Amino acid sequence: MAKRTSPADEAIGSHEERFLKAFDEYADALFRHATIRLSDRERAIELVHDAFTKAWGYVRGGNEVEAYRPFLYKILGNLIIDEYRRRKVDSLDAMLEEEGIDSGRFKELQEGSLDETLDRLDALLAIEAIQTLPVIYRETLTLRFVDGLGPKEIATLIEETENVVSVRLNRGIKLLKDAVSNKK
Amino acid sequence: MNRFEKNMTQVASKIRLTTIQKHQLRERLLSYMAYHPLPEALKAHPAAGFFSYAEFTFFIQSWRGRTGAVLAALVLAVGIPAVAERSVPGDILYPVKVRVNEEVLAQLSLSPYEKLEWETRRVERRIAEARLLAKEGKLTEEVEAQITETVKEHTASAEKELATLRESDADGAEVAQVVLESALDVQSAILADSASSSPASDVGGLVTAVEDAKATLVAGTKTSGSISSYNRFVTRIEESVSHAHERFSAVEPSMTDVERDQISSKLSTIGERLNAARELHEADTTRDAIRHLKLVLRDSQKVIAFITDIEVRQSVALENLVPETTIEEERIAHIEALRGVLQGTLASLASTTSSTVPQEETEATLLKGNEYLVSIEAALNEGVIADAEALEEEIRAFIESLTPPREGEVLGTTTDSGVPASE
Repeated sequence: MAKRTSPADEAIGSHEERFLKAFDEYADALFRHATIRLSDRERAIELVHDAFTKAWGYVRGGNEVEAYRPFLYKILGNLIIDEYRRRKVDSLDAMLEEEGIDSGRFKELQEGSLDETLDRLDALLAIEAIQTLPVIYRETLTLRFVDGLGPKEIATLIEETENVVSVRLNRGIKLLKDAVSNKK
Repeated sequence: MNRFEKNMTQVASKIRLTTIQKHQLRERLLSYMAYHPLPEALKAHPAAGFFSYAEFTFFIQSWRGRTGAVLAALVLAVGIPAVAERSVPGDILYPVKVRVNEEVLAQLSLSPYEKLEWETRRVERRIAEARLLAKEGKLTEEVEAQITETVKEHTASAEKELATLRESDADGAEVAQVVLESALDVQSAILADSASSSPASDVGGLVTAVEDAKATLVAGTKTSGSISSYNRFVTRIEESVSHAHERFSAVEPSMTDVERDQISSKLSTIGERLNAARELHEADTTRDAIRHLKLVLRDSQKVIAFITDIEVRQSVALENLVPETTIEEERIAHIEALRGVLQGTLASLASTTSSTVPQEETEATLLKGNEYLVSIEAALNEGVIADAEALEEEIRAFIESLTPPREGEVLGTTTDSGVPASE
């Protein structure tokens, strides 16, 4: 977990206060993340609840949470994967184990053309379209464009290299573009 | 990329919890934290010396916290309302208690849930007043009639709030109904004790009012099979059980060994049944799990009443208040209650005559109702309760369709508001 403690965290004393402050600060963002990845508001609420109860269990075990935001995202991410498994999403494990992608295969998605691609995308359609993409791309795209995390932060969160994250983003954006075009 | 990111952030920000959802989620977490507290070594020194932060926040955010703040303001501002709280019907300050104190607190109850809880509390207060007067031999016919009338008003208000809650929050309404039923069960038990211990004071009117209220609730019972309903029940039960344990710890030293053992045993059974419900939920039989949870919540509410209210402890044996029954027995009792309501409805239909509804239609309705009764009897006789439970919703819809009375019917039935048609 990255050693980032916000000034707000430093000012707060008890475990309970910090925990509840984390809820007040991050519940909406976590809910948003889960809703987009699951396309299901009700389940998203339950998973957010479960993420916080698991976090509380961690704290009760005498463990210190340095920064709640990445910690909660990590828990939520795992719960979402469990949810996919529960829904028996095809090839989930294959998708999750995908490795060794050579970013050089995607010359057409160099930075400049990527900007052009994204600029042309309608954000509202993009949000809807993310929910139709394969699960593995939903995660990176949502973390990047909804939660505002950078590739390095995403890599830490999902325990992959930055290279893999960049490639997934590139592929995801291409798929997103196609999905948005189909919606129009 | 910046413009896209900005646009995405803007659009995505519209996906958020509603205020109510966030509040409810926070309440659930607070309950969870209270039920799963930090070990002593990790607890911060509480600022007030009495509550942990979670307990303090929970207290303040609950309607009881708000109610307590207003009551404190009243005491500070004027002593009369405080003194009035001790009054009973016939006392000079009784109108202050009912029309000032209680109405102020009613106004502070913002949500249908809080209003419902407060009206339930008002029923309890009226019955406590009646019992006190009965004990002192002052419960005259006139006073008993007056109290009975107000009990009917409060239960009607509670049912109205429940109906409102059903429209906006069906899951919350399911939970609230069980809590209300439990409260009425406790009051029934207390009144039964009053009737036997003070035969000279007739509390028959009150007993009937409470039983009628219970019957109306049973008629409106529905069991959802939704996950959100399941979660609401679990949250409420965890809150109840946590509260029960806290109160038990506080009053345990003043209890007898027998009371202590009985309560410990009941709390243990409640815990086991809660786990059984969780297993049912995990096995994807959420509707059955919710049926279990309703029984668990009902029992936990009654145990709390027993622990926290010395009058209840003195009036009713815990074994009678929370009988040791199996889930199967309670399911049978629930179906038998449904049968009773159906029989009553059919009897009422058979005894009325209508100038606008053809006789054939009435006979067809009665025939259908009797078919349902036959199905229920068969299920009960063969011990296949699930067959009757499968028909429950259909039967309730059938009962509901038979009320209110059809146009032009002869007096003897009530209108939607519960007021006799002759009024």
